[in-house]
Amino acid sequence: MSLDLQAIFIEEATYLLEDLEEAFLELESAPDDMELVARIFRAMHTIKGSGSMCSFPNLSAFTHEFETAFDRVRNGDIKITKELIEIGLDSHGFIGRMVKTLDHVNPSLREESKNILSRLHKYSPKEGADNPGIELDLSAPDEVVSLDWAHYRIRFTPNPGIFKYAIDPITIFKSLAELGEVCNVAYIKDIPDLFEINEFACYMSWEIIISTQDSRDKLVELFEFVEDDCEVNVEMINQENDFDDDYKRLGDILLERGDLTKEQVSQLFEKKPLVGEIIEESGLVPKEKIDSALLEQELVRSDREQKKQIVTNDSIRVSSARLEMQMDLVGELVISLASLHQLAVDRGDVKLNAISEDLEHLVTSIRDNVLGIRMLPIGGTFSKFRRLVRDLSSEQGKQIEMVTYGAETELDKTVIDQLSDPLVHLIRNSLDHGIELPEERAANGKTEKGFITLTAKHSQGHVLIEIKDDGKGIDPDIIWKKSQEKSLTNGDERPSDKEILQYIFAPGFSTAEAITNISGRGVGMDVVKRSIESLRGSIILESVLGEGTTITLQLPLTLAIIEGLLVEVGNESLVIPLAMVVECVETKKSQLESSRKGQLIRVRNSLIPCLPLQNWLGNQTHIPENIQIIIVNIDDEQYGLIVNDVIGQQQIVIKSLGSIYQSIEGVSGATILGDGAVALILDLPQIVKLFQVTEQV
Amino acid sequence: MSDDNTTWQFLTFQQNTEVFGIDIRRIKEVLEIRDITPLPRSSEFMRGVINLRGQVVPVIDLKLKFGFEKTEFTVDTCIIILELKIEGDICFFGVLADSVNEVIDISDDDIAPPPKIGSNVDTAYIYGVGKIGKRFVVILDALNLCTFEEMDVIHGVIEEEVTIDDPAE
Amino acid sequence: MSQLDNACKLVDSNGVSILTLKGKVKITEATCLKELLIEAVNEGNPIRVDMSELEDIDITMIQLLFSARNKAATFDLEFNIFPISVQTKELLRTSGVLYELFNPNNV
Repeated sequence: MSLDLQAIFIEEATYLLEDLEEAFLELESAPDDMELVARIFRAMHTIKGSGSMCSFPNLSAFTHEFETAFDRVRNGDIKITKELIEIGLDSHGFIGRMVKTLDHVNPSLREESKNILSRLHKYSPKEGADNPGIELDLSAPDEVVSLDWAHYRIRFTPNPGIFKYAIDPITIFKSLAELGEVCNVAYIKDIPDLFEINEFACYMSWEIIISTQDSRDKLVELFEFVEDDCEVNVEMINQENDFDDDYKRLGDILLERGDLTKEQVSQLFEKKPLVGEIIEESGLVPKEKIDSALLEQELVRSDREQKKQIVTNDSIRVSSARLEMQMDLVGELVISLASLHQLAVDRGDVKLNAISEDLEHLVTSIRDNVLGIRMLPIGGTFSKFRRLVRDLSSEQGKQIEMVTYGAETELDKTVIDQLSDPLVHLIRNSLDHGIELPEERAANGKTEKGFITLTAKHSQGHVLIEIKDDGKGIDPDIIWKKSQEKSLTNGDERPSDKEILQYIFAPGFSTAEAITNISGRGVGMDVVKRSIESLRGSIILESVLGEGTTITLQLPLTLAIIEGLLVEVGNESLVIPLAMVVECVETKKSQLESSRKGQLIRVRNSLIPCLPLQNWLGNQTHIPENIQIIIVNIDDEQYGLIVNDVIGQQQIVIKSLGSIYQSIEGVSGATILGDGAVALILDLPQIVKLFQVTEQV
Repeated sequence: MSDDNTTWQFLTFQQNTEVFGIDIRRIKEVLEIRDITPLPRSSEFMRGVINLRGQVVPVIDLKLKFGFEKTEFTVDTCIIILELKIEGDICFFGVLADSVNEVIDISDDDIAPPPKIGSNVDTAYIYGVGKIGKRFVVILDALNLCTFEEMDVIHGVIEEEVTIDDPAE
Repeated sequence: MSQLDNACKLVDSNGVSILTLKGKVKITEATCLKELLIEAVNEGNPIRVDMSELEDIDITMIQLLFSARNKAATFDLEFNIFPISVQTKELLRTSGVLYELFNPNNV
């Protein structure tokens, strides 16, 4: 149970932390935006509450401090400062680390927390100290989701001689804290004058509100040792399912507690509406008692709001594992449907065919629906990058602002997850090597501040992500020289600038040397390219010397289902991603033109190199006379894939091949056909590479 | 109760004339032979993949792996599906067997360590040799049969092959 | 007893009476603490209680602290608690006095 809770908390916290970071970064440019402050406060509050529920007490304690300070911002007592945002971002990092260590405070985390808290305390209430709400928030159990939670009020008035029995009430409080969320208010009015006090007598009493899943008996048990000479009173203050619109009025609470008599209350009520003040003014009840009653009110109210939220909130959070499973099942459904369809066609059964077509509509709707659920806005990742840019630019003495557009653009969760690293890579490149130092920029007539623009948008069934900087751009001459040095070029003839820039993606190009000395780009760009390609995406680089560089990533909307062209090669069925197919040409083997580099096909005046997939399959190298050639576009180059026959276009449910198959080149996955057979999905860029390796020998 | 008396259950199966055993806790199910889709340019012993109720599962030919002739398919040929936890993930593997015999109990006492010499099979794949009466069963170590390291070795082999091969021929 | 002296120590620093509490200050130190607090109040200088190295406390100590704070207020003496260790702060919170202790309006 606690492990479950922990997992839920970690997930929740990760989500909240993202939100938090984003809010902080936004706050930097809009420090007066109270909406943002409220958002930060809420996120912190939730982390605190859930943290203490899910046995992250240290984290919860830390967050509390933070929340306290932000409560003051929220109430307008203090203003957002740059330092406060700094502290916020540091806290964000710290909380993230605490979540990772599962609340274990190691020495370095302790240092970190000390550092942050000492900075934070400048803003916390012990100096301002006019905000009674802070301490009260401590126990507000907003996040209590389980319905078994109950709130109790414990009044504890120890016998003055309690210390003689070596009983320290703190020990009891600590045990209480283990049972649930505790808020404790001490009554100190009876502590006598310093010159008269008997240091061995107990003058204090307490009122404790606890939210716990344990029974009343359990609470009483804790006071067992002291019960005899102390006054202990435990009562439930709120029955669950008590949905009365307004809980008890403050006066009623005090009345119920016997702090006021009925007459006193009604007298007071006649005077003014602000009960808390009146009662306090009247001096009938000590201030702590009112605080405590206010606390009770607050607690029950927040609890009730929480319940209301549960009722009215129309969005739920689902674990991604469940979604995966859902997706798998839909995939199965698509496959079964294909079998049914095939059967209907084979039998020529009109009725069966009609049913299968009806089903197809339904399945398509379900599939689209499930795919839609998996779509997430990319904005979550964007905020991480803003943070990166912010931190790194100040480190390097650069002035860089990151502008993002299209944060709401939705992409499949899997794509987003796998996109993060390549994007970090690209942004770092812009930051490290693209944007110049302020002086250099000024000397070149640019603004001192550089811009990195991150844009996401939909375009023709794809998502385009553009990373653009207004830095110094890439010098083709340097790239060309470097490529020649590294023998990446085919001869000495200098190609166009555009082609030269593509060398950056060549596997051998990125070396440590290239990172530091050359115009900058090329830091593992081959790796970036590969990871984008593994997402069935492509990458385009454009650069104007002196003006900047733009990198565009084209990504599929989803990874789970693609449109594929089913072809037959030898005895096997293979799937070619339709997105890459240009056209199909029916021809004869004898009509292919031979060259030093292999066979070529002439299509409308251009010669396209042919790749016989039969050779790739290996076991049957025989190519029949009648062949089909699938013209595909890979990296702006056209190739013709020689296949025996084209079976047709089909929606392909991609089955992951798992880590084991990563070693099999030319295959990106597999799918299951209508007849239950397995067909491999081709990884065309890799296939082209395989054939190129052979050519060079 | 002594630990020495613990008995384990093994599924025995036939490869040519030899009897092998695999811990039944590693076995998900046994399938009849069915169409296997070959994986181009994978290692020889990787016979291909099958569809196991919507999951794509690789099938390994142990005979090829141990250096014997390739398994010929007969009516008795089976695919034993292993369920292994590799690097935290549950993975399924199919292993070809000429025929499946029975499930037997062998106590720890009756399992000897792999022989140092004289075995037809690389001892890395052998968990031990079990004795039932006068018969011997070579107990395979399911986890070692299907490891990622092994696959990486295959990877290297493919690359070599490709450079020799000329597809334009 | 030297240990006792170490737990509570009162020094005068540029006209501020600094009371340093270290390690454990519990009922065994109560008398000592009380005397030092009285001494500090009688001194007539602003009082600062340093709890940065304080590890454990009990209710006796908390009571004395309140009592001294109230007394200081009647003499119009500044009474500050600074700095304070995390553990102590947590203990004060657990005891339900953190807010009270740091809220001068309640004096």
